[in-house]
Amino acid sequence: MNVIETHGLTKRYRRKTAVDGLSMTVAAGDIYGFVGKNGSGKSTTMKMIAGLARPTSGEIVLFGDPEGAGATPQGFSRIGALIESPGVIPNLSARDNVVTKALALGMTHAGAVADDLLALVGLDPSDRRRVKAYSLGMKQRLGLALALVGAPDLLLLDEPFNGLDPEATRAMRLVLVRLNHEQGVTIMISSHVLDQLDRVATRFGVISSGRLTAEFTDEELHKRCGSSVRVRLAEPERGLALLEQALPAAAFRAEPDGALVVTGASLDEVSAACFSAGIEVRELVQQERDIEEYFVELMEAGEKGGGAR
Amino acid sequence: MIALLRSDAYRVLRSRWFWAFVVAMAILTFAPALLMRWTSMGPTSFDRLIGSGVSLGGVEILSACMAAAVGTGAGGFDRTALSALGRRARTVWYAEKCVFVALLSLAAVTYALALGLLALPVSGVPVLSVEPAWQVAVWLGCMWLCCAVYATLTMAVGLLTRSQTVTIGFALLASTGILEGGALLGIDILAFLAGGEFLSVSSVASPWVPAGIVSALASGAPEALSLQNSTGVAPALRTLVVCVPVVLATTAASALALSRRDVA
Repeated sequence: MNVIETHGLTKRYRRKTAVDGLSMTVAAGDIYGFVGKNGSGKSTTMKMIAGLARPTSGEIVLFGDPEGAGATPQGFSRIGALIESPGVIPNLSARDNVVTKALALGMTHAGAVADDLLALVGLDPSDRRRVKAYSLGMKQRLGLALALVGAPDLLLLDEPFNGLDPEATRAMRLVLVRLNHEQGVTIMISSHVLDQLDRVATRFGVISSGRLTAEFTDEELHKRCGSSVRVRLAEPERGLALLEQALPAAAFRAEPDGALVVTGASLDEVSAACFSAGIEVRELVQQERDIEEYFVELMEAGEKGGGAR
Repeated sequence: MIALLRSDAYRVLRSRWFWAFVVAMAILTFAPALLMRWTSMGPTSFDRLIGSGVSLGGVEILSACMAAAVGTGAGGFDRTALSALGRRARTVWYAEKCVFVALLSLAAVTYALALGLLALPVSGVPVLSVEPAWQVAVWLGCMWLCCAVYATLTMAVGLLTRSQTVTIGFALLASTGILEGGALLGIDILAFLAGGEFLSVSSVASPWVPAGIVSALASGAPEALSLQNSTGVAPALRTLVVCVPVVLATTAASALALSRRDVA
């Protein structure tokens, strides 16, 4: 089942189109990494999914409900959201913030719920300090705890790793993975911290200028960014023809300096093929494609209207 | 609605500003009472309870300021809470905000009356005549409705603008009657420019606006039920005719209009 489906989702603010005909799907159990530059429409899309902003046009289907509400019979949404800055009451303690939300959702043991959630995100429930004295990282963790009140089936997290130190980032990542694996929570995360996103996401969507330019699984991503072999030959044209013959399953790309980038074949296979064909090799090296670089390429392609997939 | 009211009550009771209001009200009530007891300042007796011995002057300002604090003190929490609510529950959420500040006004009015009654023996000034309890109850109800008008309007402004400065400014201008007076004066000027008599509109309308009703109620409980005034209508009835529809309309408009607006 798809937890989120959007069809032609558009949001315009006066003259600016923040989201432009975006169609995407997030399946149940996904950890969906939503990648895009600043101002590409990530937060606006998440706000519309969370019901905090009304689409100018298009449709949002949540949990298969075309009304877009995806609400429980009690009228509560099945969504927990942490969008832009953590939405907290600055003059209350972290525990009071969580209790306030739990009470709003009609929970009877609000105090116990607050204690559990604060412990889960690594905050001390007995800390009586007001939240306005918290660091950004602590506020982010509180924001996650607030988003988790009511055991939502879908979590929308906008830049959840912002302001977190490496240890807290790791802790947050582990919490998200645990929620996904143990409780089946579907998670949509937007983040600029691509290496963190890469470690948790099972699917990716790339948004550029309000449009979804690519959608793929983590397996596809690693296949696309997987290792390749760079080989520079004395006779590039003849060498390419011979290598294509010797390695029919491999793909070849010519670099501007005349070198060939071979994917789908190992370094040993390329080396053996060159030796067998008697091709003079001037350079032979294995290379990994940078994931960040790949995403940047996709985003830039989207801006140019390429929509690379 | 009940869950949302409980949540807001928890939030307010845990806020320092609320207890600052509670303490400030107690000080402002007991300080004059103690002055009367320890010095020869003040009257030798109160001729009656309401309007003489006990006055709730300024409680409408207090109610509006508390509404401003409730309406704008949640920071981005509204976003967090609203994302957890379905579409219909969001409409209820906006209505609940107005209902909550109206109930908070009731608490403020009742607390102010209780403080006033406690301060009487402290002052040591005797009350010569005490009104029947039902008259006091009617008067208190009318005071509450007037306060609820300012509180709900302030909450609506807070939810609409999301600006603390604008909301507090509105609360002060509205609850002190400056806004109503200014509006009536503006209408008077327009009427005068159109060839009418200057102040003709405000002389008719001012007893009917909430500030005018509060002013009439300040005279006392019997006066709240008296027909002996310029309108020929008892202030209590004017309260029902004016304040109840305003509170209901503000609550409904907030719920229907604001729930359709983008939160962030």
